[in-house]
Amino acid sequence: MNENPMTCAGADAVLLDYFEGMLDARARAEVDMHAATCLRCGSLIRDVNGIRVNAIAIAELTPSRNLWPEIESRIQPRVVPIGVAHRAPVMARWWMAAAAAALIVSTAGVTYLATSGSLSPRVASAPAQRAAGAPDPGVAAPAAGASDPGVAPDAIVSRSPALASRTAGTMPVPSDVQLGDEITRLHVVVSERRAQLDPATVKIVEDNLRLIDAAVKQARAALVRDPASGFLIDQLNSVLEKKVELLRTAAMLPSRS
Amino acid sequence: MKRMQAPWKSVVAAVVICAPAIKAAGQDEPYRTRLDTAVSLNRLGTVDVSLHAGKVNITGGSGSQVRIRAVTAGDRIEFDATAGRVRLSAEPDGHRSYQHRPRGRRSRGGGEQAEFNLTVPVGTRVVVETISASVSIAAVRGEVNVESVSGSIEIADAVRKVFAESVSGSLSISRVAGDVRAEAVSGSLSMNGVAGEINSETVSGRIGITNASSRSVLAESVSGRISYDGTFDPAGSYVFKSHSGSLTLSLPARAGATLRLETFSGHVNSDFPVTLQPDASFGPRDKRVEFKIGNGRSRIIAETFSGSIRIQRIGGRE
Repeated sequence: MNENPMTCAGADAVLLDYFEGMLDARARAEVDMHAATCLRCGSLIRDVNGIRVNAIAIAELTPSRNLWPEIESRIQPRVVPIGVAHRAPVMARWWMAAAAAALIVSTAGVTYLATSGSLSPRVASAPAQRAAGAPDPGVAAPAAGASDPGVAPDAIVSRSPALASRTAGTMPVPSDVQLGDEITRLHVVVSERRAQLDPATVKIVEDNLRLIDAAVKQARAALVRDPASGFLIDQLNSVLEKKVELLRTAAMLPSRS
Repeated sequence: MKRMQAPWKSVVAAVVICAPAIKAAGQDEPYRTRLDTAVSLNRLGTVDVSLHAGKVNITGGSGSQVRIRAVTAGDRIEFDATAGRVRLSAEPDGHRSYQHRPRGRRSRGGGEQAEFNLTVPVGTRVVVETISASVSIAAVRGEVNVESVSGSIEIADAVRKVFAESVSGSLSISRVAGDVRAEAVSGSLSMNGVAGEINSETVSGRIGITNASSRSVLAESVSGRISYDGTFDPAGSYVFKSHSGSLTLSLPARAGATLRLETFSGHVNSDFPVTLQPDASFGPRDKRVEFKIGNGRSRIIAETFSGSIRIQRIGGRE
């Protein structure tokens, strides 16, 4: 009877297939039997399996905003339709002037809204977006009631005052949803990794997250009083981006062991 | 049987490929807690050091050899040298079994007493990673990249690029003939004599920039104070932003700059005369001023939500 014929070299040769699940039952059993008696190969298999489990648990990270639509809009040539020339009907001079004025006003308005949105298309995301996957309170999640009701605490707001005041808390756009989701996901990752991190470092991260959340609250309160302030919108966006960066840093901190 | 997810193929492949080396290291190499050696390194080669706790001291020196004196409190020293790269690390436990450790050498708390002292050829690129170990890098005159969680970082006399990051450790960077990127959470950043671009960022840590001759400066914090003292290039851009941290900028009396200062609830104080522009705001809330001094060529922006902005004149009045 062949008790345990496999050597470390033999195990090395089939480990890839072993992890891939490509070995038949007999070969797999041989590897398992060898690993049970070999410190080196047993540790290796346990380590890889541990990495697999931990990595599967890592939340998928996405960029804070999708840049492609903006890039695409800039590199695509404008298509100018060639229309059939029509002879303009004879109109009264005052009617022509009124029509021209209306055209100018409407064009300027549309252009303003369009460019405001394209330059900084981030508007407040809906509270519903925030509700999903609420962060662990132990990792300095924004305090309940810290923000204005109906406005997501971590929502980035539009640089356009008109859009910001009109859509805050009601009309999410994809990029904002992504950022809100990113903050939520990072909160989850950090809370899951909390036990692996140095407690002193965790405290520093939490203290600084609270500090950022207080800054967010102050900026939001100021925006309520002056929703047209581009400066305040920039300030708010800046501290929110700091929050994302800090959460990313915390999520990638090395374990204490 | 359920197949593994695709990304794990590469991980597994890497582990399998490395397995013989791991085996060799685990069974053949001595369990070393001290190392005193010297190896040759190519010009502009890289020295890569990793240590959990203790001290890392790296100094630039003449010649082409890397001189290493390393000791740990029980952690095994890993050392690997090629012509272009030297690696030195001491990781607690790692993949090895405690059964392979000599008796009486088990690490207590990750090697608090570890100390790595290296002398490297001038021009060497230095990469250091630590958890709580303090790092001092002097006179290497090469690129430097240091990351730490809570250890302090001191870097002096580097060139080309310096990157330094710590969560709570303080960063002190001086005499850099190149670009500096420095980041901390609560740790303070101190930069002196930087000639290249400065990009610095903290949450609550203070940012102090002195004797700078940079063409581009970006300093951002949430509550940390920011101060700048240096030259202002006519084509340069200087941006200082905080939420509640005060901003203090020291300008030579003969500086030529256009300043845009804005704060929501803080104060603005300038040693230079300020001529308000038509769009200026100076109410109890939202103070916004833009003014020129001298030829107005440098562009300076200072913005803070509730911090104060102070523009200091240095060198006396004209």
